[in-house]
Amino acid sequence: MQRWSSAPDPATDTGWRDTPARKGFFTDSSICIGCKACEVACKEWNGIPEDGLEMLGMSYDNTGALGASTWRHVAFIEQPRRPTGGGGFTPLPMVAATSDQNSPASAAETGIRWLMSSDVCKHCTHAACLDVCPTGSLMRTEFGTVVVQDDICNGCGYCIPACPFGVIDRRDGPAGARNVGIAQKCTLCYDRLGEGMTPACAQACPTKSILYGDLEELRITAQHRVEELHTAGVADARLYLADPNDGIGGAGAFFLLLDDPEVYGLPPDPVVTTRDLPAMWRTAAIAGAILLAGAAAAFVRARP
Amino acid sequence: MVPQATFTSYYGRPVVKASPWKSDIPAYLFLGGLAAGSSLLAAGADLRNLPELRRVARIAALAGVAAGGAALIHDLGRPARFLNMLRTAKPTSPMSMGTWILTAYGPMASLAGASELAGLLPWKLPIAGRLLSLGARPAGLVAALLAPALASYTGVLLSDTATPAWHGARRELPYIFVGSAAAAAGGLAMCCAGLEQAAPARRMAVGGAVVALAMEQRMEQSLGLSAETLHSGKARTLMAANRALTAGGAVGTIALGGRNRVAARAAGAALLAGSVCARFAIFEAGQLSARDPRYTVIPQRERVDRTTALDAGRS
Amino acid sequence: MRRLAWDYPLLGGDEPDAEAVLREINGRHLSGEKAGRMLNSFGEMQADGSTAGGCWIYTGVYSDGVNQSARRKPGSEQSWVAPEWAWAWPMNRRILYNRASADPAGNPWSARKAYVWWDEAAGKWTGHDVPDFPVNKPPSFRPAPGTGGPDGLAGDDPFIMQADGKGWLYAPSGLLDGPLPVHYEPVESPVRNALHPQQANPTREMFPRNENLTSPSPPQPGADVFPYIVTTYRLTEHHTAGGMSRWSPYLAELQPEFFCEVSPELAAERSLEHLGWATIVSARTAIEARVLVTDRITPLIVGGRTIHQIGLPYHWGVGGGGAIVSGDSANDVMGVALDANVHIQESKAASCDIQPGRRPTGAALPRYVEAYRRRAGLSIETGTTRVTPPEGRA
Repeated sequence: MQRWSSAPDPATDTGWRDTPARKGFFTDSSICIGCKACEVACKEWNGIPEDGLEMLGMSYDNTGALGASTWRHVAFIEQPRRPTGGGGFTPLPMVAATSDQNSPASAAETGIRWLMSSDVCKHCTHAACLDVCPTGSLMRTEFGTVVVQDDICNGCGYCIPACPFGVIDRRDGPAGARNVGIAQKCTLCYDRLGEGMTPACAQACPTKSILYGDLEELRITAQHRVEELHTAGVADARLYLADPNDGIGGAGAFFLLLDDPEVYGLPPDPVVTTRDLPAMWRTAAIAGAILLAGAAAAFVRARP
Repeated sequence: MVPQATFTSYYGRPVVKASPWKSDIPAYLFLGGLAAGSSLLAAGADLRNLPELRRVARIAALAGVAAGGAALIHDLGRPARFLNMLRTAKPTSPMSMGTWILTAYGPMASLAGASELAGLLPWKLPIAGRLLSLGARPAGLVAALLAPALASYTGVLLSDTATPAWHGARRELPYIFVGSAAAAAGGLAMCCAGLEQAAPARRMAVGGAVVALAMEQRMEQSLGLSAETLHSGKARTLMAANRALTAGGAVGTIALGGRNRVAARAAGAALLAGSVCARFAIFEAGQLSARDPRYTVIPQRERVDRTTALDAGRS
Repeated sequence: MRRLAWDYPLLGGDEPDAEAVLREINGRHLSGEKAGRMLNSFGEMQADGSTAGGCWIYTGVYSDGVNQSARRKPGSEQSWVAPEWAWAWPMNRRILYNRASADPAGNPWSARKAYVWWDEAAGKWTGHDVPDFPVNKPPSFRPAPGTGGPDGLAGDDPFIMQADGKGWLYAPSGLLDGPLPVHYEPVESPVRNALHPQQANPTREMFPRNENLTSPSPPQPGADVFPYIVTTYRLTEHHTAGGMSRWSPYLAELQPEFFCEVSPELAAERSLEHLGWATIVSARTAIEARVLVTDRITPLIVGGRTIHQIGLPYHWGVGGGGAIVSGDSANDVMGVALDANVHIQESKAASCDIQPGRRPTGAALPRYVEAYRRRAGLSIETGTTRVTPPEGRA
């Protein structure tokens, strides 16, 4: 019985032969300018409906979170300047705010840094959504990405609580929109990849904060970038989900962040839930056996 | 470890998503458990020649699996596509496994139940009736063999998610659910069958109640921080009601269940209601634990910090 | 009309291929041995019908048949001017008049900032950018006396579109408010001009009418009725303007409401609630906006006084059927006073007040604004004084 996928190349592990190199995204938040072009380009290409017209008051983020009708989400975080040294951060030249030298005593705290980062489906090596999907609608592509087959999904919703990142969701509306009632998430532009094209978000990103390419190469690029930032004194720079030994086996879409993942709404130590599934099945088997034995015992003294 | 008083999140928004499931799913957890427990009771009654208990339990199993199946289909985003569940069989998907368990169990329990219903008709069904009565025993026995899987897999169904209060209770949920199934099935039989024939039902109900209550206690320890969600919001009332009804029902069963028909019915009804409350309480606690980022972020942050401290200690 | 190009290939229905349109704008050779080839610069355009192009400044964007504007070579792989990142009109030149980056002799003023320079050996201008100068005109070139036009400019006259080829700091003619640059306060300002007694630009164009009143600035009385500064800006999420943004669902959902950005200090001073409503009042009218409290807006300290500023994004409006989002317009609180030289409206700074809650509507709105005007003692003449009277005689 196949437990959770464990091979380093998830496409081959799934049964694909002669696969192209595993594809992915490296999102470098240190050069994200928060323009949201990725959100718009994604919606244009994939024909995703508008996802609510509510002002959220979360800095300039009125998108809020990834969901069935939001496959890229740019987070905006405004942080008051903390004292440097110790747990403080080093401002990047391009994101540092200047404080007024003539301001009163509190002026040291008036500067802020404005963090932006474009979130997306992680296309996990060990993908819980794919593991738990009962219809086989969620599938591993030859590029190692994870895609919902719209014509198969019956909207059971199991993938939604299974995802450790809260990415996938069931489209509830608007009425008449495409794919209402079924699970939806980033496809890493499967239809573009097949044509040798770059996914829409990466294509639209004006600063190359979103890089698309072969995952192995992206990991090397990312390692160089984080070292470059450390050399430049940006001690807060760190890679997130780039490690193949983490709880999801590393992500197909990973990130360079300037603060803890939870600051951006990301889980600090995600683990694919199906890692514990064999143990859970054993527990269930024992529980079932106890029920059977208990029921039998209940009839031991029964008189006809 | 004392939970951190503060934690960081993105404007307090959830990290993981709560399931989109409505009350259909906790209702199914109850109905499926009721059916499973009832099939076991029915098989025992069949083998021990307790026709009244057998009739009640077979009909309960039929009703439970029919209503439970309907709830499952109703909960789908595309109910018309429910048959897509049968495209594949995936051990990594408890829902897929559950579908196949139900697919095997449902017709068996239905056949056994249908033969009892046919017997209640004021007229005889000539051919169908004979076929039903011939098939009832083997079908009922197969259903009883599948019933433990039906009662316990739902614990894995909930645990195999990133929902903190469900995944955190993975070592207890299957036990709680089989206990709850036994209590519910026993309780229903106590309500509907005579005092004498219901004796095995009483024993099963009390045993189930004890297992469920004990494992719920252990779940509180396993959950750590997210145990809070069992005592917040809707889950708080439901959990309290579950404990009172299940414990009260069990005590009532032991004290008066074999002697007083009214008391037996009251105790049985309490056990049934307790089982409903347990399923809804655990469902609601999970939903709450997914919606509040503290239950996702704090334990993970503590894990990271422990690993970092360990690594620092080694180097 | 019939000679225009209409035969663009269509992509997905009735959408013309944008690259084909860009190629047409770039222009191409129609006849001769290069027929069909893209024009590489507007210098290749001919008046004899042998070439065609859509817009001369864009010629070169498709030079060599490549979409130069789609280039994304990283800055680390080319010079610091990064000429191979996208394309700029005209001729992919990134800084105009760039001959001024070299001294009169044609050498960079600073080796570190070398930009374009005269290459004596090659006898031409060269550098990191495309030189904005006749490429073979040496620094030492001096025109014959009496030569006019571009040929009359010397080799050290970098401002080639100017009659004398010079950039002017002292401008004895041409500017209505010359000859030297100086700082003036905006027409509406909460403070006195710290540089000199003249408060605002005396040459500004004004339109003193009842609908376009101006609030007083110090030293005139009544300035404290509108104690805050309101400024305007655009949002990245808006494409061009409201007409192109508020009707587009993908843009409307990114910025769904008109808001005012205020500092936590101002929010506390005026009891403004984050995401609540606020009314912004100027001498013209009052508008309402959702409140966005942010640390990015900081109070200014001017002359020892704390001056709060309020930020309003442009491009909201109401009406115009079918818009997905709507809101009051920042334009309505801004006054109309124009710069005398280029006639541009002063829309980046004005005086205002802010109050929590939504604005009155209907007839109550003019009454509400009128009460402010009375308290500030506004008339049509307020703020129209051109020359600030000496202090103490206001």
